[in-house]
Order: sequence, then C-alpha cells, then structure tokens
Amino acid sequence: MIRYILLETRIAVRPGVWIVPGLLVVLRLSGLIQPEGWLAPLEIVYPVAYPVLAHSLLEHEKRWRTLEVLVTAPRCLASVLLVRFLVMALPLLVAVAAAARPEHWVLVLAPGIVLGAVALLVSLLWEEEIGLAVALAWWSVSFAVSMTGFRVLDHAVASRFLLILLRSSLTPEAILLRKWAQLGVGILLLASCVLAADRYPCTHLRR
Amino acid sequence: MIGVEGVGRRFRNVHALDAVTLEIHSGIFGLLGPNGAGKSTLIRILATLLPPTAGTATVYGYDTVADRIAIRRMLGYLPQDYGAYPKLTGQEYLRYVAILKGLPRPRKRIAELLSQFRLVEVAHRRVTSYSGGMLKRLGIAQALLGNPKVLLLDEPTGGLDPEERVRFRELLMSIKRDRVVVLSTHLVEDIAVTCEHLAVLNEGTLRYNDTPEGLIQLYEGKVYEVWVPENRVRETLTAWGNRVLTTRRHAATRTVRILGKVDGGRPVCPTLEDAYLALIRS
Repeated sequence: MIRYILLETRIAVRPGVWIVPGLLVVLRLSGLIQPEGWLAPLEIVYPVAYPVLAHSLLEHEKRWRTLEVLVTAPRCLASVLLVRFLVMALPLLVAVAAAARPEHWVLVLAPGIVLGAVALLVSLLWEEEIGLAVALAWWSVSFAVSMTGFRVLDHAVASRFLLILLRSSLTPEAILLRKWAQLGVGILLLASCVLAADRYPCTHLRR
Repeated sequence: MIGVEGVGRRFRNVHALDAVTLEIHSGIFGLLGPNGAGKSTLIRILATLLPPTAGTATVYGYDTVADRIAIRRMLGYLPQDYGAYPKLTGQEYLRYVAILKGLPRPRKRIAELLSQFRLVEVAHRRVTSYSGGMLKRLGIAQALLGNPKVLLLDEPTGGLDPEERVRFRELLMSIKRDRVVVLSTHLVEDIAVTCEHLAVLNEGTLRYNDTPEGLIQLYEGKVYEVWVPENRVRETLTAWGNRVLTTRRHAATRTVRILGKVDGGRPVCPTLEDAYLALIRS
C-alpha cells in the first residue's frame, strides 16, 4: 500500500507544489508568522484550488492516454481516482493546516471539499469542462453575493447554498453548522464518485 | 473461450459495430480491417471498456457487462492509443500496473519482461525519454504482467520498426499456448505470419470469419497479374478502378494485380493481402 501511494504521488504531484505549504509550515512553526486576519481571504481563495485539482486529475489521464489500461485493471477505477485526488490534495491540506488555526480548518476546508467533489462528480458523469464550470459558477455566485453584501447572505435558508459566509451576519454557530453540512455533502459526493467512475470510461471513449 | 453473439455498438447515429457473431478459441486470432472498421470497438467491448448496445459478449463464460471484474482479472490489454505516466520510469510503471492488477511479488516477472522486451537498459529512465517503439514494447510488457489468459492487442505493431515487428511476431508465437490472443491490426502481414484464424471487419460488419487459407481459397482463380509500362500506369489504374488490388514497381514497368479477368493478364495464386483487399472491395 505504501509503495502504491508513493507511486501515485510520483504520478500526480510535482515536487514544486510543496514549496508554498512547506514554507508556510516552517514559518508558522518558527513563529515568524501568525495567521491573524487570514481567515476571510482564505475562505474566498482556498476552495477554488479543489475543482481545479479535480479537473487536472482527469485531464491528465486523458492527456497521458493512460485511462484504458487503468480501467481494465481489476482495481476499481474509482478507488484509484479518489486516492490520487487525496494525494494531490495533500499539499493543500498541509497549507491550510499551517495557515489557519485548527478551529478554523473546517471553515476553509469544507467549501473546497464540496467544490472539488462537485467538479469530480460532474466531470465523471458528463465532461471535465462542465464539472469545472459548475463548480466555479457556484463559487462565483457565492463570491459575488459575499462581496456585494446582498441580503441573500443573511437569509437562513438561502445561505445554506452559499460557500463564503464569514462576511454574513449569521452567528458563528450558524456558520459552523453550514460549513459542517458542506463538508458532509462534499464527502457524500466524493463517495458517489465511486458509482460515477464506472460510467466514465464509456463517456470518455464515446467522445 | 470468447463468444460474441450479435454484438452491436452505436455511437449516437453511427453504427460502429453491427450484429457481429464470432467464436474465438485459444491461439492467435486476427481481427483485420481498414481504419474505422470497428476493430477497436470490438476489442474495447471485450476489454469491458464499452458495453455493447446490442447482443452479448462473453470471455470464458463471463459476461463483459455483468462480470467485468472477473474478466479484468484474466485480461492483458494493449490499447491502440497507448500511453504511460510520464513521471515514472519503465520499471516503476510496470510495478504500478502490477499493483493495480493485484499481483503479489511482481519483481521477478517485471525483470523477465524487461529483459524479454529489451528494456533493461532503459528501465530506470522516465518513459518520456522512450521512443515510440520502446513505449509500445513497454505497453506489451504491461499487458503480459500476471500471465493473462486473454490478451487483447489493438494495433500492437504500429510504431515498431521492421526488426521489432519480426521480433514481436516471434514473441507472440511463443506466448500463444494455453491462452487466447486477439490481435487487431490493419497490417495483413501480421496476420499472415501469426494467426490460425481471422475475422475481417468492414464498416462495422463481419465480412469473413475462418482461416487465412480459407480466405485465400475464396479468390483462387480470380486474381490476375498484368505487366504495365510505367508511362501507362496512371491511365491503366484509372480504367481498372476498384479492381486493382496491389501494384509493385520494377525498373520500367509495374506488375498490377487485378480482381477478375483482364486482357493480357495471367492468373496467379492470390496472397492473403490480395484476398483481403478483394473481400473489402467486393
């Protein structure tokens, strides 16, 4: 298993992507930086990385022309894709661990996971570009609403569908509840990818 | 071993494969046909990558739709458009595929395959530095990991130089025992040298399914050879049109093989290539 994870890391992660997370960890551990005031910008910027990650995961398989061999191996395609997605997300997880306090991790992580899961699921069912577009559209709406201070943000029901909530007038408890819900939905959607991955080669080869 | 019963596959309004029925037993079975004939579609259906839209296909009694995992456990597959992970070395790539196939302790087998396919010297180089031929050999090596009972090879000799192609055919002959090898190609020579049985596909339909000798016999006495001066080749070929099978250049003349009797032509024994082309054009 360890060898398999190492090979997945060699396949999917460029060593260069560790520079920023590594630097953050070093600076944070040495006490040179403190993550004060970072939470609001992190909540906006950080989640975008996950749909991009999901898109590049499938795009690479297409570009490298490796999907057919991967699918015809007995190991489930979904498990390979999910392991690789997590391996690719590892530098991002380390970055957030260094850049936010533990009690804030879920605030930053949850929208990222749900966006990544949406992008992956839609990509597997239809097309990679559609998956990325749906996830980015959701993020854009949330971003626009949070920036314009539109009343929707303070609406108890409507705010459940928005990803960027720290600027709202919701209570910290309500925000946290929504973020946990986002994380839960994200994990559920990632689990649904197991079923969707079965369809993917068929969709991919038809094009 | 492999049963294909009325298999069809549609992509929107295009019939890539239409009601194909075949039986494939152990040994090397050739799938021959021009580009777009439906060979790769049939191979992909057998490889459990695509479900058929009509009919059923079975491999050792397992259905290609319902029992995909069981089939994948006994399958070695080389796709036509083969690629490997660019950041891995050849050896790492084989190890990765071995893990995906769930092979315990694959080190010895990987070493054997690297040696068999003359990849030992480049085993520790990244696959991005491989030539087309090396990459193809790596592809065949990964297909053979785990000694699969069924080997599906889609255009395996494309990109190989003549020497490698000869070596590949010899290798194929040496591994055919006790397993089913399906070789899809548009190169008649590959089939002529290696296959005991072949099927010819054209425009998604099965045009022939028997031995290569049987296909040749179909056109015995129907192929004629004519010597044509070089300066008259163009007009002659235009006049005979679709009946022209092959031409071969000599010093100042060409020999042209024609389907059907022509003035000045002499009957010749058809080759497999003649018979295949005649079948496709008829």
